[in-house]
Amino acid sequence: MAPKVANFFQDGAAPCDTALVIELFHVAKVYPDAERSALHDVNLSIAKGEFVVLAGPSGAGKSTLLRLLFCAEQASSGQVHLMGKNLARLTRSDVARIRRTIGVVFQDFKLLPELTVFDNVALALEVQGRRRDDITRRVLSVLKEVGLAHKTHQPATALSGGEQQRVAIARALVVEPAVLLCDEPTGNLDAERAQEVLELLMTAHVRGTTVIVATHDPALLAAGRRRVVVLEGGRVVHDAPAFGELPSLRSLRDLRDGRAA
Amino acid sequence: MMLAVSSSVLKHGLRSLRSGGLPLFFAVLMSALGLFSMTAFGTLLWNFRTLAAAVSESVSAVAFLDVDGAAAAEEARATMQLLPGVERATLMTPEEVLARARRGLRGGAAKDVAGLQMPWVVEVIPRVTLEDSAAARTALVTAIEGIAGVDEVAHPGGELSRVDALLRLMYGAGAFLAVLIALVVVVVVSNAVRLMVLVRRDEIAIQKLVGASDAFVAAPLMLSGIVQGTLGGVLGLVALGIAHSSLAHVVSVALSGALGTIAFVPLPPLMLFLVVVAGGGLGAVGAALSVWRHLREGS
Repeated sequence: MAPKVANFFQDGAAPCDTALVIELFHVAKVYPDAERSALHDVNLSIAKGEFVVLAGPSGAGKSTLLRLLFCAEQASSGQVHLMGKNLARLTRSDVARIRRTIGVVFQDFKLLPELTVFDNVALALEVQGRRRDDITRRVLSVLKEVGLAHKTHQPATALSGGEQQRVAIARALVVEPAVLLCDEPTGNLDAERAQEVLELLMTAHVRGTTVIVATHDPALLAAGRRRVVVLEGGRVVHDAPAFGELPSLRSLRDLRDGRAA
Repeated sequence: MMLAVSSSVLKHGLRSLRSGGLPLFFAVLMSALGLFSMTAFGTLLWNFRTLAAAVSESVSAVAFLDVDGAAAAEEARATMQLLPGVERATLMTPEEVLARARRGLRGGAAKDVAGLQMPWVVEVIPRVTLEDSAAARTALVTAIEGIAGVDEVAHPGGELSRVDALLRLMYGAGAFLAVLIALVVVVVVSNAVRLMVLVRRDEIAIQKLVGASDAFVAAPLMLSGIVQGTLGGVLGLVALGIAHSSLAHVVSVALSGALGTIAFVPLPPLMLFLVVVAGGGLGAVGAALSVWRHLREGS
C-alpha cells in the first residue's frame, strides 16, 4: 500500500490524492566533470495531485531533479521512485512506457519546427500507437483548451513564444499525464504570456494532474495552492506546504538573482 | 493499432528521406553502381554457363564399340544414356564414322581411309555443371568402359577440366564481388542513415522524450534505408538494361564463332527481382547498423 502524506490543499479548491507519486531517498547526482554534486542527499515526497514549485538560484539542482524524474539522468546514489517504480531499475522499454504517462514542458519548448501545431501535439499520441481518429479528436480538443484551435495547421515556428509554449503544454497534456514536469516554462515569456501558461498549468492541476514546476518566476512562486520546495547548492533548504510558511517574495527574487536567501 | 503505427512510420520515414539530401542521393547512386556491377557480372556468368555447355558439346567422349550388329550397338547406347552425368548419347554407324573421318582428313590421307572397316561409335555428351569435377568425369569414362560391348573410350577431359576450372574461378570471383559490393552498399547506406540521424537528432530526442520506443525511432530510419537500397537496385537494373541493349550484340558476335551462335541473354526476371530485394535488404542492414549505434550511444 502506498504511504500517505498530509494533504496540503486544505481549501478544497484542488483535489489531492494522498498516494505518493514521487519519492526521492537520499538522492545525489554528481556529473563526471563537475566540481560538486548537482544534488546532495535530497529527500522529497510528492503526493498525487500536488502543485509543487521547485525554486532556487541557477545551478541549485532544479533542472537536474526534473531530469532525474523524466529518466534523462540516473541518480549517482539514492533512489528515485516515480509512481511506485524505482527508476534505476527500469529497462529501456520501461523508460519509454513511463514517459508516456508524464508530460514534460521546457523553457525552449522543444517543438519540431518543420511540423505543424497539430503534428507536434499528435506526436505524443503517435508514439503510443493510437488510432488516427482518436489522435485527431484528442489533439483538436486539447488545442481548443489551450486556445490554439485556430492555428492547428500552422507550422510551429510561425507562432509567438507564448503560443509555442502553449503547444508544448498541449503536447504534454494530450496524453492526460499523471505527472506534469515543467522546467522554467515561463522563462522565455513576457508577464502576460507567462500568466496564460500559469493558468494552463493550474487547470491541469485542478483536474488532478500532479504538477512540478522548476522556476525563477515570482508569479509562479506566488501562485495559490502550491507547495514550494527551495533548492540551493543541490540541497533542499526549504519545503513549504501550500498556505504554509512561505519564503517572502523578495527572498525568492534574491534566489532568482543568485543571492543567498 | 498496427495501422496507426504503420502510418506514423510511413510519415516519419518520408520525412527522413526528405531530410536525407546529398548523402541520400550519394547512397542511392553508390548502391545503384554496386548492384549494377554485381548484376552485370551475374549476367556474364549466366551466359558463360551457356558457353561452357557449348564447349562441353564440342569435347564429347567417344566410345568405340566392339559389337555385332545395330541391335547390340543400340543397347550399349541406351545403357550409356541412362548413366548419371550424361546429357546425350548418340549412336553412329560405321559408315557415318568413316564419313566423319574422311571429312577430318585431307588429300591423300582421306583417300587412305577409304575402305577401312570402322567400328560402331557412341558419342557421349556429358553434362557440365559447377559440381562437375575431373574425378566425376573419370568415373563417367570408367562407367562407360564397363558397359558390355565397349572396346575403348576416347575423352579429351583436359578441355572440360579447364572449362570447369574457369567456371569455378568465375563463381569464386562472383561471390567475392557480391560480398564486396554488399559491404560497400551496407557501409554507404549506413553512413547516409547516420547523417540522417544526426540531422534529426533533436527530433529523435523529442520523440524519446514523449515516450517513443526504440522501435518507433528506428522504423522510419529503417524504412529510409530499405528505400535507398531498393532504389539503388532499380536504378542498377535500369542501367544494366541500357548496357545490355547496347552491348549484347557486340558480345554475342565476340563469343560466337567456332562454337556457333551464342546469344547474350539477360538474367531471368526472378533473378532481377531478387537483385532489387537484395538492394532493399542491404539497405535495411546498413540502416539497422546506424540506428542501433545511435540508440546505444543515446542510452
